[in-house]
Amino acid sequence: MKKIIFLIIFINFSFAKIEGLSELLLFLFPKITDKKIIKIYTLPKYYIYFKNPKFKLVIDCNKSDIVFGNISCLDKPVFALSYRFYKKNNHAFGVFYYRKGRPQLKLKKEILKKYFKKIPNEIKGHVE
Amino acid sequence: MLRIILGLLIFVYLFANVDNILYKIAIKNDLSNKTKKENSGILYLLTREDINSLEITHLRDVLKILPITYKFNRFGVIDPFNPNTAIPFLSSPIKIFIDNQEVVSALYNSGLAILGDIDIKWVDHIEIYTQAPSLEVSTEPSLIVIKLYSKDAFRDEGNNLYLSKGNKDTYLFFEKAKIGKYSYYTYLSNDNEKSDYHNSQYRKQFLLKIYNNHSNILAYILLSKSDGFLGFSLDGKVDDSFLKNKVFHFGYERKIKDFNFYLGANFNKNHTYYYETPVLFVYENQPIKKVNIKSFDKVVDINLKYKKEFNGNILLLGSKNRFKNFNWSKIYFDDIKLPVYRHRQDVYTIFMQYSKFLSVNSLVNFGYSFSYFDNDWKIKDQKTKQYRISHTFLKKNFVFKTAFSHIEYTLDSYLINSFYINKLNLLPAVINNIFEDIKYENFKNTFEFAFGYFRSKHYFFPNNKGILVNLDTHMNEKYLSFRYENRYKPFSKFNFSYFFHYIKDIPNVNIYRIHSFVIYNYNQIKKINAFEELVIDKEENSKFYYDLSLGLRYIKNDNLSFFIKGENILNKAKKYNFFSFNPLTNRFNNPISVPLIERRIDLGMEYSF
Repeated sequence: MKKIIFLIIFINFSFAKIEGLSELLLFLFPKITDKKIIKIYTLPKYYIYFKNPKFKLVIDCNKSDIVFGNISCLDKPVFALSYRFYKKNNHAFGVFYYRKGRPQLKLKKEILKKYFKKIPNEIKGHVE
Repeated sequence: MLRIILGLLIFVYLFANVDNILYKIAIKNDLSNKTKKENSGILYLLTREDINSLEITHLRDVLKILPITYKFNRFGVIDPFNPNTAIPFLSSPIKIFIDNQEVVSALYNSGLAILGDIDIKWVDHIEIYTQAPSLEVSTEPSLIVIKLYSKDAFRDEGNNLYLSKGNKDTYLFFEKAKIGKYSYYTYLSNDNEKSDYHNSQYRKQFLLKIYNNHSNILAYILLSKSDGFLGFSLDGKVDDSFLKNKVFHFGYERKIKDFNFYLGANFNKNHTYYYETPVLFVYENQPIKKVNIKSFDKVVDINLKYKKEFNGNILLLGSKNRFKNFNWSKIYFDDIKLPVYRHRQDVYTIFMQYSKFLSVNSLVNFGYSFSYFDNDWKIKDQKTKQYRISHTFLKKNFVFKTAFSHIEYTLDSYLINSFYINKLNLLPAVINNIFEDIKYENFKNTFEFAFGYFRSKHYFFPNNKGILVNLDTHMNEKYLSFRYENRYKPFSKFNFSYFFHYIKDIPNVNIYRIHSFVIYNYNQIKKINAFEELVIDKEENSKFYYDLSLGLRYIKNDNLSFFIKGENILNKAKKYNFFSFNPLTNRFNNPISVPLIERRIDLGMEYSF
């Protein structure tokens, strides 16, 4: 509402929304899939990251192209938000997380190949 | 059209690759964006990136690059306002907070004296407000407020182990964080610092933060033992001495709609010991060789705040009740037991702050607080007030801040009726301050220019007999600063700052000028992080001092890194002259010159799992 945004009513002690994450997802997901519209299955609290018309939110994970968040659904590819979940889950192809205060992106080569066939050059530096 | 082109250029710059997007996320989600209060004073901010890249490990690393400057007194504790005299801890208007909870000792009426040298690898970012910040930052009368924000589980989930060993310091810490319904972050450290100047320090710290969206619980423990430095010594050669502190802070903060409730408890146990032959000092015509003092103090805070936005205006109302107890439990001069004192002081404060938007880019702020000091013993009850009016104006990338503030602060209860002074019922010191701060900021550059003026009345000052009195005259201080920052590529920054203080009408000194230049640069090249830092100081009647620090960190992989850091590499950092006196000849000795930052090199590793 105000141009001056210095004042915060009361800070929350923990923070939910990650500013800029939707831009990262908008950059990443269309590059690894061939689909014009990518169907996403996720928890309602993450809907805010998928407001772009390139994404379509689905409530049936069977119909999704990507599952987003630390949840598994059948054998659908998962983009995780926790490094531990990403390491343990066999369908997690990528993860966004923080390490020592810095945001990180990691992608698994084998899982990417299994689900999406191609690995674009722009993300190769983050593939392990 | 020009804006669109510029926007497009910025877009291309930002969105060219994943790394740039990640950098943008890092900046947008920096924890400081959630906590800083730009219009509350002149703010110096050290982000997580600054702290990591400059390899900041101790609070003094921060103080030395800010206008506060790093100074300690004859007891070896941080005391920027009072480096030379034996009247301790005049820096009580400098307040320290951990996660918005003030850590304070009734002995010093500030946390600075006990936390000034601590290791701070548990810190995510640091905000330092100068020039009498607003009531939203601190309701205590304060000239400088240091806010340390601990790491959070979201940004630091997992375990982390850190070990460094150097010519002066052995430092080890472990930290663990986990996200959950109740997230937590915990830190445990052991820090052993050697000094060539009777100022070695040994410290253990424990910090635990448990929080969710509405509540925050903080437990903090500090156990420290340090050499007593010069302390009471007249000739500056102490045979044996130590200062021990056991500090415990517990705080609970709860948010319910527009209300914020805080309960905080601080306990501090202090033990001071000095032994020196032939004589430490003379007390009532008796030469004293040994001093052995124990004290215990506690401070309990109960705060309630109400903050509401209506019609674009913001109202803050609140009350703060502080209950202080102080107890000299044992005082021995040689083997003479002195009478001990027990003190209580209750401080009741009410405050309000009203912020009104004059237009979408213009904000006026008015704050007022009133405190009532309920003292015991022969000390009269006191009343103090603070008020502040400020205006913040935005124009494109410019921010203009103007503020006038009036603060009154009293002497701490322990000083009254102790053996340092014998004049009761000193008047509160009064400080009026006006400042202007102009900042230009875009994505890559920040320019900031600020100037201010202080005028104080009844300032506390030791007279020729060493007794603390109110000054009859006004003391005047002018302040000027300039800062330039260039973020020339992701995770890289160049900073140049200049600070100037001009203090007039100090008794016996008249005019005192301080110049300080701070230049630092850090950057990341593939797997190497490097930083260079130069601090140049010049004070009245002293030469220029240079403190050069360099560091390199090799990041082997996501989990493991190695680093080397050198501080005061040229061994030309600022020195202070402490005056000593020979009680046998009744003459002053040559001054004892002590570097505030000793030359040190540390090697270390950090491992995450």
